Amino acid sequence: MRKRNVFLILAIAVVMVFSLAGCGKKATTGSTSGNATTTPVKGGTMSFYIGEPAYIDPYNCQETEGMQVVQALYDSLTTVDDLNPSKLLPAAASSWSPNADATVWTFKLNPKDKFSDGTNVTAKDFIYSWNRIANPNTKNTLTGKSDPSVISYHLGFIKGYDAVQTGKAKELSGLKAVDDYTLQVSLSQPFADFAYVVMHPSLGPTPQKAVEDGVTYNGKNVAFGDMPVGNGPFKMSEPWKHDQYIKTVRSDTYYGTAAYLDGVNFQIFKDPETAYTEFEAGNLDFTQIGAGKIKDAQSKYGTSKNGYTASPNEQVMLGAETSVYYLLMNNENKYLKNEKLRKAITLAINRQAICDIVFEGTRLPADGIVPPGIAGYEKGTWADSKYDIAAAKQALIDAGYPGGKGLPTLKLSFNSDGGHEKIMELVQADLKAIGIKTTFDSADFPTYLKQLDAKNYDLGRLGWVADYPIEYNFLYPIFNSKSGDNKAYYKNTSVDTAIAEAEKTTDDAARLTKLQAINKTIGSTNPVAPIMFYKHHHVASARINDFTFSAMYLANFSKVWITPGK
Amino acid sequence: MLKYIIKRILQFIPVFFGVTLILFLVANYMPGSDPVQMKVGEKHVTPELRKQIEQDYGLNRPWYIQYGDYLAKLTKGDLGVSISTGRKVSDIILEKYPFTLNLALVAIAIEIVIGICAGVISALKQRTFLDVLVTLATSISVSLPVFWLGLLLQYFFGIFLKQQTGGAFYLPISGASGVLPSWEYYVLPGITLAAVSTAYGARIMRSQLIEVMGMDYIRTAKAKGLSGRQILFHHEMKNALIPVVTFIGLDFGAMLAGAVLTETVFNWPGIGFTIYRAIMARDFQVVIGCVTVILFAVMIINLLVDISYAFLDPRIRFGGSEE
Repeated sequence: MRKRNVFLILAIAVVMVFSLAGCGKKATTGSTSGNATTTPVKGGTMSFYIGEPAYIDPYNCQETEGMQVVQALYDSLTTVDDLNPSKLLPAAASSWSPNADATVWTFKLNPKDKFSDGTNVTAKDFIYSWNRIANPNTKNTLTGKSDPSVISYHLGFIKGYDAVQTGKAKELSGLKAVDDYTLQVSLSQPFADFAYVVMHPSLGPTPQKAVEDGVTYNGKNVAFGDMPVGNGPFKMSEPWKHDQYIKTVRSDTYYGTAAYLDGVNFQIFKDPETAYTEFEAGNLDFTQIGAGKIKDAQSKYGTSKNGYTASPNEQVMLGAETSVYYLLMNNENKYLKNEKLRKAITLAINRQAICDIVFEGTRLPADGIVPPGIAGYEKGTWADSKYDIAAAKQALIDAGYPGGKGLPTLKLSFNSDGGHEKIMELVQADLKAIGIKTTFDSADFPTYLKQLDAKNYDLGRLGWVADYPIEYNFLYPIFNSKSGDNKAYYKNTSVDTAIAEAEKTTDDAARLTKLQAINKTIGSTNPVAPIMFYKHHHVASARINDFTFSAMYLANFSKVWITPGK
Repeated sequence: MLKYIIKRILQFIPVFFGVTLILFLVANYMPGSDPVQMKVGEKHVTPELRKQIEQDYGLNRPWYIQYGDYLAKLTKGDLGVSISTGRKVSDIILEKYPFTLNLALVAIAIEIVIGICAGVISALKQRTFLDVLVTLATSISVSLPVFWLGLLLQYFFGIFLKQQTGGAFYLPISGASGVLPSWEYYVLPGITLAAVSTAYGARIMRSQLIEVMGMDYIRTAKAKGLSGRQILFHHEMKNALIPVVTFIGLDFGAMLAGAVLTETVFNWPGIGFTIYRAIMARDFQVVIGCVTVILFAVMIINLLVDISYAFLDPRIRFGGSEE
């Protein structure tokens, strides 16, 4: 009968339309055979996976996603070698020297250093940026409202810091521009590691005019926070497209060796699994490997020899990171301020199982808060950071909650966009095994960080990547009572004093011994539960060459190049 | 006919006031919620901050004045400012809603074409292989979790097919690129979003058509000598379509509210994920602003559905039943 043919034909037509959808597309990934070029070639744009950043304005760049963008846009005074994090290298500062007792540091700036808009970078620009970070009334350029930086503690040892923080002064008295290209920093006490501190990408220079007036793009005014201007190898080519992408291109005013890449396209994904699917389809150059797929990726793409540098067929990077994954415990919470309860929680977690099940054995259970690779690492510094159910149950009894009786269900918070569900499921099961009940509470990373800032959590999680590769950077930011990154709200004034005392010691060995002792003291009350030391579980595409993703979780976009024709 | 349409459009106005009033009351006076805390999100509210917020937003005025103010701002397009990012809510919606709208249109088109076609085919070829095929396919489709289907499609069309054909033939996996993606990006998320609804639509179409086909007046039409096609298009379809149109209209409304799961799997920058994140961040200005826009969209869809009834059913067109 005729009538059904109409519908049948229509249905077939629809199916055919969809089938034809793929035909028009050019093939973007060809085979990997052909001549292997080993000399770097200029050209190409690298697509790089990130989650939605909280900030890309360096004044408050506080998490890993925004950091990837910031370190492409900014060069700070010093930097470290990609493969050897203890080796300091000049960057925006061509040389530096401390005085005899390390209380005054003088940095000589490279006069060729320019912002991407062509203006010279001078000592005044560093002073302006650092004051912006230290000042608690600094306005967020996107909202126009006051939004103090949570990373100002990096400048904590500079003279005048306390005065600025309490509102008594507007500028740090310890900063001085001796001349345009000489920056003199006076510290309130000796601090032997200061040259390491200033390598932090957030401490780069920002141009005052662009910060205050914004930038012009296509005739419209854009806030600095959506299109920051810096002195790094790359610059923003258009404003931040929230939840979609951040596009950067090579900066032609960069004082150092120009990058080979034409640009870096930071693709923002809500879910790392989607990003990995995109990578497998050949549409992404760098991403995290999907859960449970590490061995599979190794067999498909090959493994990097040193764990940090990717080249064709050696694309999976599994190097140890100078970072630690830990369970946060709100030390001001009425239940968790009980030290024995925290001890029970940390002893209950089967760290090896998490490493084996979720990461296919490629991670290391944490026996303390400082990871191997940082000078001063010792095994077993936190005595309770191990799996011991009997001891956990005993500690729970000592805490006054035998078998978990008397404890309400605790909230276990984490960020939903980092792939932490599986880990949290195991933690939840471990805690249930000794009688502690928990429920999940997840939000995206920027929201989750705000929750932590508002102390609105019971148990949480965080990862800490070394900002600078020294033991101080694990103890001070996470545990000093005044630090904005102390999200466990651990308060111990004698530890605060001890850390400051240790940093006065200019003799490296003696300083390390003091810091190790402080580490043990903090660990004895278990303010957080270290779970594991991170390793990279990242992969680069076959057309990427000489790409190093360092142990400090920073990508080197200057040396990487793309195989031509791909 | 025109009278009917005008009457429906005029009914729009009291509905609009009623809906926005409920929204306003719920937003500001929900039992157990604190309007001041809702304005600041996660931040801790000190007594000074509370006074400042109450002043800034006029929270101490009588509710009808606040409601009037809210309506006035609405007509100007001012939906407030997002607490977490500081951007204007209207800007955020203008940026994200077109993506949701386009995806919803694609999904509805799939639903209409495939759903209705499959329903008609299986009704006409009742109890044959085609009917069984459609029934089976719809049953499977209804039971599939949306995100699982999405992942499956991504793997098959995005990766497997690409590898098998050496890169010549494939579909993009996610909407992460570009301002408004070109049409290939809509295929997979569109199919995923439409899958369950298409199944329902096909089933409803099938059962309605079967019911209508058994009616006396159809037998009369056949006896009169009308051709199969004439009977189908002029009599059977028009009568069978009303419940289907109702369903599709409701479904379109639901899609316009954003589809969080589809948006996450396909990294689609639509309104669904924005609302979800705003709820997590306690950013109520964004939530209320988005819900207002969605309400508008749904009301317009309902209006269109009602108007389409007038075309399908003369009894509605001329008001009241005839006998």
